[in-house]
Amino acid sequence: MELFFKRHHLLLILLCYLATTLSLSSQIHWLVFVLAVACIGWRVGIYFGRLAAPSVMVNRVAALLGAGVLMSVVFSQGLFSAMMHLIVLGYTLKFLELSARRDINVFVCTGMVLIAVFFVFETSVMMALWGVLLSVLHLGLALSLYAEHLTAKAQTRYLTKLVLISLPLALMLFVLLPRLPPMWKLPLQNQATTGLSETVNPGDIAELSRSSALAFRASFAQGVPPANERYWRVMTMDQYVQGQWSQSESIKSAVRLAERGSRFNVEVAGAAQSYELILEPSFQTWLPSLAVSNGQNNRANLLFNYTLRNEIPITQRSMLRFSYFPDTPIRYLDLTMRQQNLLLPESGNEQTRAWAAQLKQENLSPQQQISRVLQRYAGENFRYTLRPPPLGQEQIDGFLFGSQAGFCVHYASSFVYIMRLLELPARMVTGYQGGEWDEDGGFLTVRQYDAHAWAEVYLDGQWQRFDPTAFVAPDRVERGLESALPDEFLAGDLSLMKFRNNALVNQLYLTMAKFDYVWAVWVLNYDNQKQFDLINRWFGDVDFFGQIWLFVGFFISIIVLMILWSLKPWQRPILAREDKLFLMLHQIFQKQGLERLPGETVTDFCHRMALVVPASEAYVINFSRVYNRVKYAEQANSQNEKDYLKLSLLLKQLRRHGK
Amino acid sequence: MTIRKWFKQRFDKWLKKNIPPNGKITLTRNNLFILPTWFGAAYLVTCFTLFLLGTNYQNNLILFLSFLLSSIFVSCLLASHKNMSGLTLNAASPEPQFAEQYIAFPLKIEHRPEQGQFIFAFQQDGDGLDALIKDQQVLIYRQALRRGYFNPGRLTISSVFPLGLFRVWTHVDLNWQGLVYPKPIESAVVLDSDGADKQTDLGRSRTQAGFDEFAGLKTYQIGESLKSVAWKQLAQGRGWHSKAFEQAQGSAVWLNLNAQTGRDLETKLGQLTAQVLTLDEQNALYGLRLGTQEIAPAQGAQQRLTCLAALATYGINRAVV
Amino acid sequence: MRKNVSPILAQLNQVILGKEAQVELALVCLLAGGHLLIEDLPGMGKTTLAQGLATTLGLSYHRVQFTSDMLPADILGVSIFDPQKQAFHFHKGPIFNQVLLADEINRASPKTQSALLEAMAEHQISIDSETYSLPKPFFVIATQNPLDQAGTFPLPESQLDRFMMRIELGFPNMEAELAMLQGKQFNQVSQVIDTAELISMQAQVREVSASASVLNYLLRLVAESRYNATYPNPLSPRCSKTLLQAAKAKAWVAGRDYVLPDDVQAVFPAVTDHRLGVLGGAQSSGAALSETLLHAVDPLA
Repeated sequence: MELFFKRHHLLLILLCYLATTLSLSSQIHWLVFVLAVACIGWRVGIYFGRLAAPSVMVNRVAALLGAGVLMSVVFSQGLFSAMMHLIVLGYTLKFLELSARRDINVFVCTGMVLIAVFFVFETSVMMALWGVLLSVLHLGLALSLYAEHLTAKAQTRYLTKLVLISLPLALMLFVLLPRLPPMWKLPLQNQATTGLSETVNPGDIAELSRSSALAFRASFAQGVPPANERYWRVMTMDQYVQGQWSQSESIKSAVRLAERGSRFNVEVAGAAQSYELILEPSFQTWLPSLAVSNGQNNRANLLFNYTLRNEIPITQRSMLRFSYFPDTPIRYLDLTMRQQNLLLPESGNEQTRAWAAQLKQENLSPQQQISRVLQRYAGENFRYTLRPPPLGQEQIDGFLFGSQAGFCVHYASSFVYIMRLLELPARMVTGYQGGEWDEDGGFLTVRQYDAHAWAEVYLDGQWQRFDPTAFVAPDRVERGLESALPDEFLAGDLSLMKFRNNALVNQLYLTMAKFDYVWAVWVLNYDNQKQFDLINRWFGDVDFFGQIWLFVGFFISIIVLMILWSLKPWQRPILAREDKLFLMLHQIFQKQGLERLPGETVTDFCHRMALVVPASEAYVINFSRVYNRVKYAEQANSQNEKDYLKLSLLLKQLRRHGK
Repeated sequence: MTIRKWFKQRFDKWLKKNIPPNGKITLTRNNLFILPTWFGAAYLVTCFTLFLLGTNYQNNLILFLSFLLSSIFVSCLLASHKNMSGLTLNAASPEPQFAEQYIAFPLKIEHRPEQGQFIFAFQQDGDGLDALIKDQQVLIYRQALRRGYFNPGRLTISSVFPLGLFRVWTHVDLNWQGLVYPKPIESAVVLDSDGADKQTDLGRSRTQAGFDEFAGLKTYQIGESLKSVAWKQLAQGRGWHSKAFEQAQGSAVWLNLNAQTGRDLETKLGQLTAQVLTLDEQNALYGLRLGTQEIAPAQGAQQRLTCLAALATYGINRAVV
Repeated sequence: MRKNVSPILAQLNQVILGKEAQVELALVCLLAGGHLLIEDLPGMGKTTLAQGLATTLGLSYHRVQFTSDMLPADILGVSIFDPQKQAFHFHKGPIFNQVLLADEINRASPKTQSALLEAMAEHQISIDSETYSLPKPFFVIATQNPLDQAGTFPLPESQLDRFMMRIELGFPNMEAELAMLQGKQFNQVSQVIDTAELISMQAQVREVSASASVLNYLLRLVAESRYNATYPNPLSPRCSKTLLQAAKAKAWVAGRDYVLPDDVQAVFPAVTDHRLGVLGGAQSSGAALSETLLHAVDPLA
């Protein structure tokens, strides 16, 4: 074993290891940590001379066993997790074979890959800084191997300097290097989904309403739509089975098709408005959209119910651009779909059925029927609450004629039920409604508590939106959940949101939100489009080749700057004037093959030259006299100036006559 | 093998032209080589892996990490060059050594305080001793095989500072000429025949020189002549001592190459070397005859060095290495 | 050449023929306030030079021939009981002269040598708890036989360091020797300057300026001797100080009030050779170590 391995190396490796694996701890199986404790223990034992280093056999067996056990445990979690665990396993087992510098090098490289994996899961500003810090820590480990002549402090300083001078080049590459499209499909990490689910239970949305987590953010090119128009459609529920709304088979197959890239073509009408969404990871494929929206060169595909599905799950903060046509009606309805949207269980909810039958006999137009239903919500003692009393088996009856207390799902569910009883095709729509508009930042923040459900009824040849909740709690639609239910809002949530009444906290909160938004838009989702915009903003209209030249130019200039910084030509000793003049004199003789000898002074050299080249005698002897005076005597500056002139003059004369 | 040899010849020729032998060499970009190490290559592969990961996951943070690590790679290229550039190597003459011993070639290095972590090794040496680096003094060892002037060949100075990503190195010829004495071959002292006429055996001649130059007592060592034992002191129970004598003037003895018993010249020289060392140990007054060359009798360290140098260079032209 | 120096040198050069460089060095040494060691074979004119220097500079002078049986008291002096005054009376030894010519110093026993050298370093002597100052100026000009001559006690390095310069006279060239045989040598030496003048000269020498680049050159020379293993005895800080004093005196004698690297080079072998010692082995038979050192350091860098 080489004698390189010192205590501070072991400490640094431990620090790197623990910092990296603990950062990933939520993704790593606990068995890895058991293995880690064993390996670290063994390594410390080796260090103190209590244990022998494991043989190659032991290493291999440990690696195979570890891999086997881990794979059997984590394989169910998907390929991504399996691969990650393999890397972590290698990272852990390196402790057993730290016998050469090479092992630490491998450790460093593996650590870098793990930091990249960490970035798959964590993308916030703080975590990004932490990840960079982790990688610098790994580089510090490499430095400590090869810079033993520097103290720990000097090493830290050196590393900081090294990273800082590398930063401009890295930033330039980040800003100007064109992004490539994904080259192949990589396994995706498996994680619990968040946000709306594929079926609707009243309890689900109540659960979401208690979460202040971010769902998505949106910015609009042509101005934000008014609050009561911000209905973000996510899914339509057209099947009612056993008191639960869900998607019918036809929608489910359409979803599967859309996830494979098929699009539903829609004829758009009216002016387009564009907006951008920054979606938080939901690990699902659905996308919220304003009706009717079209994707722009992205992987979001439209379904026949005019909702959008992404081809891959949203596993990280992603930005999508949409065009939105407020004047385009939602028209599509075919025969099977019509039947599906009228379908109800044969029996149940008898009170409601009776009430609907009575309404039907009044021979009203569909419009009038709908307003009668809505008036009922507004007129009777309906109450908007997130904590409704439990309903019995007959949910609709229990709600309409019993508790009369509930939230959006209850209202939408009962409304759609009645519409179908009235033989009007109707469906429930789930999504988000509202959002908080940040005037300075120019973006809308939609949180999980903005989750909402409403109804669509096919009327006059198009699907029309009806939101019964708005008749019970207009504040919910106009100003959000917080003003509709100030007492129930975020009960039990301890986040900053609760304290936003405090001006300072609110300011802080808004600033953080804005920064997070900028981070999401300009860093996490910096893409070719953004790059193009940025270059155009800075350098005017630049075409593709212009961009390449720009890139090359920047690249070269930064490299040149780095070289200059590293060579520091300005720190080179500056020759005194008299020495420069002497060098010129020396060059004159050098051309004739006459060099200054080692250790020869100017005086000696000049006298020697006077002997070798007699013609130069008058000049060189004088030159040495004046040179010595200037260089070694304490003279007034004015005298020095005169002497410099004299030296140059002698040099000139020597050039002319002294050869 | 022959191709390798051919390349090596070409390379040596190229080196000779571009980095000519000199006792004092300042390292600049003209005489430094730089290439990534094994770790540097692995590091680049890691950077590329991160780039692929970042591209395929469309993850800008991973891409940035990849760019940052690649930029650090570029910085390291400059930093590792900077660590060697400007280094001034100043060769000093090595202490003479006997054949088959390790000669320490001393080197003074001038560098800025932040420069360091240099590795020194002779190009042609597989299993030499590690170089001894102490402050600005470096001793590099190489085994000398034959007597004469010994050129250790080109010295390779390398460094992998700061992160071990690059190896910067140079092969310099510092014009070292180590003087190698013949390897001593144990043999009895054989004195020149005409010298032996006048002087009998060395030990006896000393005792015959008389007690007037008695200089004191020293601890008796096994092998010394019994005649020099201080019997009186031994009888008094003061232990074994021997009487030391001031060197008698004029009792010079001569060593002669022709009088040696060895089969060939090298053996004879080796025997002479051993005899010079023996005589010097006894602080004798001796001279040396090597063919036409004659070194007048003298004593002390200076004489030993002169004689050994003569033995080392006997029949060898300084120009021929 | 400075005006008031040239008559001194002129006279000395008539006493010792053909040794201009050594004579100048000797004078430089005295002007710089250092002690001088002249080393050569007997009969080369060591004593003549010492005597000439003393007389020319108008200094009180005593010559002591060192022998192996000499005691420290023979040089320093001795306290003798005066029965009339009932007290000890100190009889000053030869050291209480402005110039002491210590002839063949390496013949004396180490004890005597060190007594003299101690006095040289401290410019005072202490006997029986009395301290006696030595006259000012005080020079020791010691002569020494080459070390390989029999019957000598070579001066140890620490004591060699007390001498500012060591010069060798060497054989005169044929011309000079012919002139000497023809009797052109001056035997009558007269005083050229007096003590006060000498002291003022020494003061002027101290006023000579040394620019930063000269000091840097000097430091690099000294540093080279310390870092390069070629030099067995690195030069001490005392040596660098001595070197600067000598260079200043040399510059002053040349008529300048600033030091040039040439001055440093001119005095360098005389100042450093006995301090650097010799490297064993055949290699050193070429140039002296001080010359190697001068070649290794660039005065312009």
